[in-house]
Amino acid sequence: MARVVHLVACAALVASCGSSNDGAAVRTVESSRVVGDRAVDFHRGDSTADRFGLGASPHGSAAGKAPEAAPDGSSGSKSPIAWTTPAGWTELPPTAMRTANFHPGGDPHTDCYLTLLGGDGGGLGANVNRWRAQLSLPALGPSEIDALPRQPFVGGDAVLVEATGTWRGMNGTDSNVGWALTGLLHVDPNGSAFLKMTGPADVVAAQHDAFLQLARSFRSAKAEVHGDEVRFAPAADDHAARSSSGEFSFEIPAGWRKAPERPMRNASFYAGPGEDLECYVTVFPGEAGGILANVNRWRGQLGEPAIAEADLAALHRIPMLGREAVLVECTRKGSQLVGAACAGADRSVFVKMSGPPERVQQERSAFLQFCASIRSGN
Amino acid sequence: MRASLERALRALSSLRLACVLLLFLGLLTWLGTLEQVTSGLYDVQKKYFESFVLVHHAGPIPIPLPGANLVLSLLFVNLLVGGMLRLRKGVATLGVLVAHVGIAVLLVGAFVKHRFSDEGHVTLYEGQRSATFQSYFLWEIAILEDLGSGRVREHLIPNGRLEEALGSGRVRIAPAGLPFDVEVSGFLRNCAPRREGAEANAVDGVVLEERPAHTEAEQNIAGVAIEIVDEKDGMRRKALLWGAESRPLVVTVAGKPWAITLRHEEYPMPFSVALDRFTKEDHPRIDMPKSFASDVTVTENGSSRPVRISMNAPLRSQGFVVYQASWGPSGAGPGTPLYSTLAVVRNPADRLPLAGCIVIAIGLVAHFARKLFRYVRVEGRTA
Repeated sequence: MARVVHLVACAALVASCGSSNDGAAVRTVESSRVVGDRAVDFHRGDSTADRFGLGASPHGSAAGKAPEAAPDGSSGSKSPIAWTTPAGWTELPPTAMRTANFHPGGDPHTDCYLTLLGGDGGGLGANVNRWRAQLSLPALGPSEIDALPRQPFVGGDAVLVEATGTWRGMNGTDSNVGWALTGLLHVDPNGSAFLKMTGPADVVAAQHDAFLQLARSFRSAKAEVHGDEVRFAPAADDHAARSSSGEFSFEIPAGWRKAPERPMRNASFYAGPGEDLECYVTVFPGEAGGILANVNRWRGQLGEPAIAEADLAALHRIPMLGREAVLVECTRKGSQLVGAACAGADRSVFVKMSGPPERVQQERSAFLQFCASIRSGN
Repeated sequence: MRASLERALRALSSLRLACVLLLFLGLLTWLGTLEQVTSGLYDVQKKYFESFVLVHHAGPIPIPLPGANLVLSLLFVNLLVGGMLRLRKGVATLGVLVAHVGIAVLLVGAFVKHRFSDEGHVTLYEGQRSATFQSYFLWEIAILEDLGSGRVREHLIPNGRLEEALGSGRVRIAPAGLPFDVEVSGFLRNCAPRREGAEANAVDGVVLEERPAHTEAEQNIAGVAIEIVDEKDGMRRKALLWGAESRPLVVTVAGKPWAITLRHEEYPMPFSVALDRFTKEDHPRIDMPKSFASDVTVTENGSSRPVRISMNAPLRSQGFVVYQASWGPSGAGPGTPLYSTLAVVRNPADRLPLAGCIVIAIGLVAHFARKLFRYVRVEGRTA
C-alpha cells in the first residue's frame, strides 16, 4: 500500500487574531497537505455513540427521555432484556452501568436499578459486604452469607440482601439515617446481575413486593416467561449445523456439541471431543462496562496485566455480527483464552473459549469460523 | 554607562554565577526526579526542564524556582561571555578554550533539539507503509476534504490551538479556504465517552468525561467539543471528537462532505518506510522477548533500499532517526499478527552532541597532552 504524501503547505500560521461575537478568540490556521492513501468513507454518517464504540442507547430512546411503556405495561425497549415496570414506579433512562433504572413508587429519593457485569464483579461476599458498608453495617462472614435467602432472578438463583442502617452512599459521603436496602445478587464468573433498591426505610418496605415482582419479570426480550421461570434465550439446537440462540443464528463447527445451559449464557458448547474446552456466547444490553473493561477482565482471569485504550485499538479484529470484534488471546499458567468482544448497535456480544493451550490451539480455527458465522436473526 | 556595561559583563561571566546556575541545575534535577513519583515524565519535563520559571510545592509551601530553560540559557551566556572575557588566550589555554567551545556546541544542540525537533512513532503491521509519523503526546484536529481519485486534503488544527480551549477556554478556528469555521471548547487531555442523555453538554446522548491524567502521558486519550459554524448562514452543529474514535465525524457543508477527526499530531517524513518482516525472538520457554527487529524498505527520491532496524541499529536519513521501539499487541497468542512500533525523531541538531563531544575531547586531549609534555620535559631537566 504505497503512500504518497504531497506536501502542499505545512506551516501552521496564525494569520489573524481577534474575537468572535460570542467571545471566542478567533484564529486563522493555514496548514494543509494532500495525502494519497487516506481511506475515508465520506458518505458514512455514524452516530457519536457508534464512532466512540458505545453502540446505540440500549433502549433506543431519545436522549433524556424515559423509554415509553408498551401497551401491556412491559418495557418497550429494544434491549435483549425486557421487564415489567411495577405500577406507580417511575422508569428512568438507562446509564452506562444501569441497564434498567427506576424511582420505586415514584419517590425521587429511592433508587432501584439493574446492573449487568461480564464477570463475577468481585464475587458474592465482596458485593454483599460492599452493600452493607454503604449502610454503615459490619461485614458478614462466609457462613452468614451462605445462610441468606434465595430468590429466582435472571434464570438462576440470587441471594436476597435486606438491611437497614445509615446510608453512606456510593462514595461514603452521605449520611442518611433510617435508610434501607433490598438487593438481589446473581454472581457467576461468566456474567453477573445485580438488582438493588435503596431509599428511606418506609419507602423500601412499602415497595418490597413490587421489587420482587420486578425481579421475576426480567427476561429475554424474545424469550417466553413460564411462571417464575425466566430464560434469557432459547438454547441452541444440539444437532443442527445451522442453529440459533434467540436473536442470533450461527453455524456450529464440526465436532462441537451443545453444553448444558448456564445462567447468563446465551449458548454454550463443548469444543471438540471431551468436556475440557468450553466455548460460550454471552449477550448484554448496551456496553456492559465497555469492551476495554471486559478485555481486561479476561486478561485478569489469566493473570495478565490490564491494557490501555491505545493497546485495545491495536488488537486484532475479526468479523462478527457484520461488525468488527476485538480478538483477545492470552496464555498463562497452562491455560489459554481466546475471546471475541463486539459492541453492537444495542448490545454487547462476547464469545469466549478457554482451556488447555494445546486444546485451544486445536480449536482456534473453528472458534474464528464460529464467530464469523454469528448473524443477527434466525 | 561603560562602567555599568562592564559590571554587567563581569557579573554575567563570573564563576560565582556559574556555580549558582550549576547548583540550580542539580536542584531541578533532584526535584524533577522526586516529582516523577506522582507525575509522569512528560509533565515533569515540561514543568522543570522546559520552563523559564516554575513553582515547586514543598508540602503547602510554594517555592518559585527558575526553570531549566532559564538556567541553561544563562549558563550559555555565562560560558560565552566568560570564555571571551576571563579565559586567557594563548597556546597554553588553547585546549581549555576548545573544550569550552565543545560545551557551547552541546548547549546549542540541546536548544535546537528542544525548539525545533519532533518526536513520535510509526506503527506498522507487515505489508503496511507510512511516510508520516505520529506524536506521542500532542493532538490535532484534521479536517479531511475529498479531492477524488483517493486523494484527500487534510486541514490541520494543531495542538497549540486545542490547548487554548482547555477548561473554560473557547477558540474559533477559521481554516483557510473552508466554507465553515470550527469553534473548539472543552478540550480534555484525558477522557472517556459515557452515554448520558440527561446532561446539558451531552451531544447525541454522549458526554466526554474527564479522567485523571496518566503518569505515562502517551496513554492519555484527549477529547474535545466542536461546533461547526457554516460561513454562509451561520448555522451551528455541535459534535464531540475523541482521540480513540473508530471513525471520523462526517458533516456536509456547502453540499460537500467533510470528515473531521481528533488524532495525534502527524508529521511527514521525506521518505516512506514499509514493514516487510517483523521478527521477535523470545527467551526459551517464557514470553519475554530476547530481541526484535524490523526489516523495512525505505523509499526516498524514487529509489528503494532494504534496511534492518533493530534495537541498537537505527535508521538515519535526512535528519531523521528511526529506532526499533516496541511491538504488540502485548499478550498476543500464537499466530496473531504482530505490529512493530518504530520511534522517529526529527532533530536538525542530531549530530551536534557527537560533534560537541569530539570537540571537547580534542580540547582536553590537547590540554592534558601539553601538561604531560611539560611535566616530562621538566622532570627530564631535573634528572
